[in-house]
Amino acid sequence: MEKIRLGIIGIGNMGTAHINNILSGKCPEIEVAAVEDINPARLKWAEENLPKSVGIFDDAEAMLDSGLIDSALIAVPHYDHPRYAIDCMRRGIHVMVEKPAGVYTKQVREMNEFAKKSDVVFGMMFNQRTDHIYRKMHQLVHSGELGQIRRTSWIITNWYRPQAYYDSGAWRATWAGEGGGVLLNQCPHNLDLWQWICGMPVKVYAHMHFGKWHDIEVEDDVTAYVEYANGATGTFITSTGDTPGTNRFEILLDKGKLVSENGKLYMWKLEQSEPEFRRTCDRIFAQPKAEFFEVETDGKSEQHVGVLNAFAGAVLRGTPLIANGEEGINGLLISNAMHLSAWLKKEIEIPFDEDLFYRELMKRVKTSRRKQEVKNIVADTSGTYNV
Amino acid sequence: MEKIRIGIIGYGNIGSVHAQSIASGLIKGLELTAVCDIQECRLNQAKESFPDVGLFADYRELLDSGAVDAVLIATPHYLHPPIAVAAFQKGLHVLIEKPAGVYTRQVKLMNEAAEKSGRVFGIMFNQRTHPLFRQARDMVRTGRLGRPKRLVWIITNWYRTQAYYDSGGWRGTWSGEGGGVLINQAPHNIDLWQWIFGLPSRLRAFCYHGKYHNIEVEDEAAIYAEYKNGATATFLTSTGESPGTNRLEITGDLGKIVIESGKLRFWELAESERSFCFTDRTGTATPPYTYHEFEPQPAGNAHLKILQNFANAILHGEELIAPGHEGINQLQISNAAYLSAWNDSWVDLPVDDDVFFEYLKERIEKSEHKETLSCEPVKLSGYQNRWEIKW
Repeated sequence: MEKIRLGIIGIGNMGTAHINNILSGKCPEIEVAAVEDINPARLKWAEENLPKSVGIFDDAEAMLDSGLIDSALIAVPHYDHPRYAIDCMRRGIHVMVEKPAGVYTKQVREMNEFAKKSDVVFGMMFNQRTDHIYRKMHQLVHSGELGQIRRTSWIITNWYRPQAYYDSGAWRATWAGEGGGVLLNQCPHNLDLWQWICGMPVKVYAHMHFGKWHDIEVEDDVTAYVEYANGATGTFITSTGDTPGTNRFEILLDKGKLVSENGKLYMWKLEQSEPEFRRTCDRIFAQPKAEFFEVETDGKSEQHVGVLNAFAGAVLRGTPLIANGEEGINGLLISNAMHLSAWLKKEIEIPFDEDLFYRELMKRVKTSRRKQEVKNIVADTSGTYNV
Repeated sequence: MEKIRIGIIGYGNIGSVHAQSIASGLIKGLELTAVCDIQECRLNQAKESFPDVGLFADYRELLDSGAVDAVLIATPHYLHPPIAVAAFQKGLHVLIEKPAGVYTRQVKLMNEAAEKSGRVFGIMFNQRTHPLFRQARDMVRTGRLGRPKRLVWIITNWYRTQAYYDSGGWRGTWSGEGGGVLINQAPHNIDLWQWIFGLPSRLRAFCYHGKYHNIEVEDEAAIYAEYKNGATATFLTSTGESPGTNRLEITGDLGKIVIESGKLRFWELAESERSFCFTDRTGTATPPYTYHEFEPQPAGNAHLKILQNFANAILHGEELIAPGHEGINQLQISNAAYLSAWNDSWVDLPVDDDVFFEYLKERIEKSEHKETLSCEPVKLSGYQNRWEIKW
C-alpha cells in the first residue's frame, strides 16, 4: 500500500501520542519517516524507542530539506504553528497542523495566504469534528430541517487542570509561551465546533478571569456572550477550575432544539415553526407541539486517527479532509475577539482590528512571567483529549 | 379556633383563585371576608361566588372598613407597594403577589412601612416551597457544596404567544407592567437565584426589547453577575423560545448540583477542589466524587403552602418562607439588569434607586400602554398549570 512519509515537528505530549497511534498500526497509509525536536531528552527518547528507519533531527528545516518526508505534522507550541506550516508549504510538503492554528489571526492569515498559493494538502487537527454527536449536530443544523438558529449555549467546563499541569512546562499558560489559557489550549476544539455547527458570531462580549483558579497569568475562567448576524445569541462558558465539569451544548432553532450532554444527543422537533405559531396562535398559553427523542448516530468517533487517515487520503487520493487548514482561523477569530473584549472591557465586532489585537497581546507578552521551577515531564494526557 | 379575616385586593386571574382557596376552607385559620376590585363586573363575579363577603371598589374603603385583619394584594405590579403601605398604616398584615413592585425606590418605602407596623409581611414566592430548591439552598447554606464558584441558570421555558401580550393593554408595556420577562415571568427564578446563591455585587446584562413579540419590553435577557467571594452567575431567560429549558447548575469547591427535569443531581467531591488543585502531582487527575440523585414526590400546591404559612405566621409566629422584605432582592437584580442593558455598562448592586427610577420614568412616559380593562369571567378552576414549575 502506498504511504505518505510523515515528519513530525515537535515530539512532546501530542506529537508522541500521534507517533504511538501510527506505530500501533492505526494509520495504514502513514509511515513515520522522521521526527524533530529541540529538546535533547525527547531526541534521546526517539533514538531509544523509534524504529531505526526513522530520521531524527534537532532542526525542523533540516528535516524538511532531508528528502525523507513528503508530509509534516506540526505539534510545537502554538505560536510556531504558522511559521512551520509556511516552511512546509514553501517546500511543497503537505502539512497537518495541531490546534490552535496559531495565537493571533494576523499570523494565521499569512499561513492561509501561503496555503492558497501552494498546492499542498493543508489540514487542521480538529479531531473532535469526528465525534459522532457533533457530526450529527452539524448535519441536523446544516440540513435546514430545523430552520434558523436562535440561541446557542455551550457550558464546557470539563477541562479541569490541577496546578501541576501548568507547572509541567515553562511555556504553559503564559502569554509569551502559549498566548492564552483555556481558550487557546483546551477550547480550540469547542470554538471550532461551535462555529462549524452554528456559524460565526458577529459580536462578542467576554468576561474573563486570569489566574482565578491557578497560579498562572492567563485566563482560566471565561463566560462569553455573542450575537449572530440573524439576531441569534449565544453563550460560551468554560473553565479549567471546575470539577466535575459540564459539557452541555444546546442549540435552539425555529423548529426545534438540540441538546448534547453525557455522550447523548436529544432533539425536540416542532410540528410547526415557532415564529409562525407565535404570530398566529390565538390561545394565550399555548406552545407548538414538539416530538422529543434521543437522536441515533453511527456511534463512530475516530478522533486523531480519523483526522490523520483523512489527511493521508487527501494526499494520496484527493479525498476530503476532516478539517481544512484554512478553517482554523475561525475559532481563533472568536477567541481573539473574546480576549480583546476582556482586555478592552467592551463588545468586539468581528471582524476586529487585528493589529490592535496583536499590540494588546504583545503588551502582555512583554511582561509575561517566565516560570522558574519547571519539571520537564511528558504527561500521559492520552485520556484527556477526547470529548 | 381563632381566624384571620382576609381581604383580596385585585380580583383577576390569580386573586380570584386565592379567594376561592381561602373561601373553600383550604387554608386553616384564614377566612375570606372582603374582595376589592376597581371593576364592577369583577365584583359581580365575586359576589356570585362568595355571596357573604364584603365588596369594595376602592382599596382604601376596604382598609378602613374594619372587615379585615390582613390583605392579599394581587393587583398590577406598580400598585403592590402603595397599597401595602396603606394597609400597614392601618395595622393590617399583608401578603403581596410577586414582584414586590417595579422599582426599588417604591419597594423600600413598603419595607419601611412594614417594619414600622410590626405586622406580618409575606410575598408569594411560591417556588421557594419546592423541595428541590430548598435542598439546593440547604446545600449552599450549610457548606455541603463548599465555597460557591458558579451558577448557571438557563430558564427559557416561559414561552408566550403574541396573543398573550395582546390579551391585556397593560401586558408587555413599561407603564402597565414595568418590564417584560424579568418582571413578570422570571421573578420567581431571580428570587430563587438570590435566595440560594446570594445577591451579586455587580452585573452586566443584555436585554432585547420586543425581539420576538410586538411589545415594548424585553422578551429575552442574559445576565452575567459577579460576587465579592469570586463566584460568577449566568442567567438566561426568554418568552420567545419553545421548547424552552429549565436547568440550574451550581458549582462549589466540594461539588456540583444540577436541577433539571424535576430532579436534583449531586456530584460530591471527596475533597475540596481548591486543595486538590495544589496537592495533585500528576497534572492530569481529577478528584474522586460520589454521585447522588434526589427526586422528590409531588408535594402539593405551592400557593396553598405560602397562604398557609402566612396564616401560621400570624397565628402561631411560624417563620415565613418568603418574608415580604426579601422581595426587593429580586428587583435589585432585575432593576440592575435593565440599567446595565440601557446604559450598556456594568452596574453595581445595590442599584441607585433614583437613577433607576429616572430611566424607568422616561420609558413610562413614552409607553403606548392602553388602558383596556377586560372583564372576561375569571375561571375558578383552581391554580393553573402555568403557575407550577415547568421542567
